[in-house]
Order: sequence, then structure tokens, then C-alpha cells
Amino acid sequence: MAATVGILRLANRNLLLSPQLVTRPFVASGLLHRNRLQPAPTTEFHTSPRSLAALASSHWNAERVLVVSMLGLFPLAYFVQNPAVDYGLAAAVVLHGHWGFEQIVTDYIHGPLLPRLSKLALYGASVLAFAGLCYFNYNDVGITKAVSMIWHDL
Amino acid sequence: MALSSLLVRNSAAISRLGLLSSSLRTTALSSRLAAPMTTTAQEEMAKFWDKNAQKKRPMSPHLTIYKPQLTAMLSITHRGTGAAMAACVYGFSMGMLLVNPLLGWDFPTIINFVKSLELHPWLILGGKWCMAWPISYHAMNGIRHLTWDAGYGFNMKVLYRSGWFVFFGSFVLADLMLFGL
Repeated sequence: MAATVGILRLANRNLLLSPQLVTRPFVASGLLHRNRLQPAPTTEFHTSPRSLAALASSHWNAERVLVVSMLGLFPLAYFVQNPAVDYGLAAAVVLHGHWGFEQIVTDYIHGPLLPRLSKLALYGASVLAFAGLCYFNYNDVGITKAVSMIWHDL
Repeated sequence: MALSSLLVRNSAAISRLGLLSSSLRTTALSSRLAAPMTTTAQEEMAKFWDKNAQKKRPMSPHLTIYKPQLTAMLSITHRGTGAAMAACVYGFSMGMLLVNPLLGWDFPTIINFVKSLELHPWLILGGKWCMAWPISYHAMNGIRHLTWDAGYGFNMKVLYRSGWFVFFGSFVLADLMLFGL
């Protein structure tokens, strides 16, 4: 049993995958063999890569989950001020912003090099932005308190 | 059952490969067994852009020859408000990361500084409105987007009705945020 599974997996990995998959090793190692204890079902044998599509769809789902939770978090932040809400807002806003910018880069920036450079720069900016908001939450008044100060003290 | 069919499939594939001589293998493998039957959307897109660049085609759809429509305007406003707000958050965050440790300006200091400028109340209100309206618009139109994601609201009539609702509703919500709650 285990031997056949091993042979099948070997065959799948070495023979049935397309050359493109060689350049996408993360796909071959990660998504095609999600559960190593069970043999891959017949539907998982493909002559063409399919896992990028799976990646895209799980990314799409993650975006919706984030956005729906933000629709709850923002009204909550209007009434409740505590560190959990502050850090939740920092993470949610930066992640949503990062994915939004990423889509804008994909849509408007073309070419062999420029999209990669932009996405690299975006990564750096997003990391800095998240770090900055965490610093602000820890060493300063925090996001919700800051908004409240703008609203009520000015 | 599933396993036996698996075995049949794969043993067939393996024996087929075994028959191939090494000289044949490279070409036969890439064209018959290993080459993708279909291309991915990403590859299709790359091909499309390459062709456009190669033929020096102008941008399509050509933006200025179209009459501005509500739906398109709301769509680009959604992206515009989102990008502007995110840019402000990124800028604020990185700015505070510099200004707080280096100059010792914490947020209350900045608020007090703005207070000391004694700006006209309308200017302050305008500033707050510039924070309230984008978020109210982006949130409301975001809900509109989520209903599309769930598969509702594509009827042309509904599309326009929800569009106008979001447009006017965003001003109402922004004013509620400024004066109501």
C-alpha cells in the first residue's frame, strides 16, 4: 500500500507534471500533496498546472473574510477602545491596503521588471506601515484613541 | 476501486514512458505527456500584453472616447478612495515611526500643535469631512461589491439603483459620522 503510494507520487512528481512546474516548485511541494497520509485522488493527476488557480481562489476567499470582519471591526472601534481593537485595526487596515495596492500594481504596471520591483517596494512599505502602527499602539495613544482625539479635541 | 483505477492509469503512463528512447524523450515528453493541454489565465494574459506592446497598440478601452457613466465613475472612485486612504495610513504610520522616536513628537503633542494654530472651524470640519467621506463611501460601495461577490445585484436596473444609493448614502453616513453619533 505504502509502496504503491510512493511509486504513484514519484510518477506524479517526475513524469506527469509539466515543465512549468519545475519553475514553480512551491506548487509541486505544497499544494499537490496536502495530506501526505492519503494517496492523491485521481482528480489530482494533472498534465497541466492547476495549483496557481487554487492559490488565487484561496486568496480571494481570504480577502472576503478580511473585508467582512472589517465591516464588524470598524463600527466596534467607533464605540470600544482597547488594545485588541487597536492591533486588530492595524493588521486589518495594512493587509487590506497591501492587497489593494497589489491589485493596482497588477492592473497598471506592466513590463518584465517594473511589476516585480513595485511589488518588492510595496512589501517593504507594508511591513514598515504595520510596524509603525504597532509602534503607535504600543508607545503612543493608539489608533482608536487618536481618531477619537481628532474627532473630539479638535 | 479508486486506487485500482489509479494504478491502471499510472502504470500505463509509466510503461509508455519506459518505451521512449532517450533521444525521443525530450521532444515526446514535452509535446505529448508533460506539455499542458491548456494554458493558465496568467499565461494568456502575458501573451495578450506582449502582443499589445509588440504591435504598439494604444490603450484599450480608450478612456476619453466614452461618455462617463455612473457605474464606471463609482468604480474608479472606490479604487481612488481606497488608495488615498491606504496611502494616508502608510504615510502617517511611517511618519510617526520617524517623528516619535527622533523628535519626541507623540500624538497629543501634534494635536495640541494643530489646536495652537487656531484654524478656522470650517477648515477643521473640512478636514474631518475628508476623513469621513472616503471611508463611508468605500465601506458602502464595498458592501455593494460583496453582494456582487455573493452573486446578487447584476441586473442593470438594480446596478444603477444600488449605485445611486451608495453615492447619496455615503454623504449621509459621512454627515452622521461628523454630527450624528
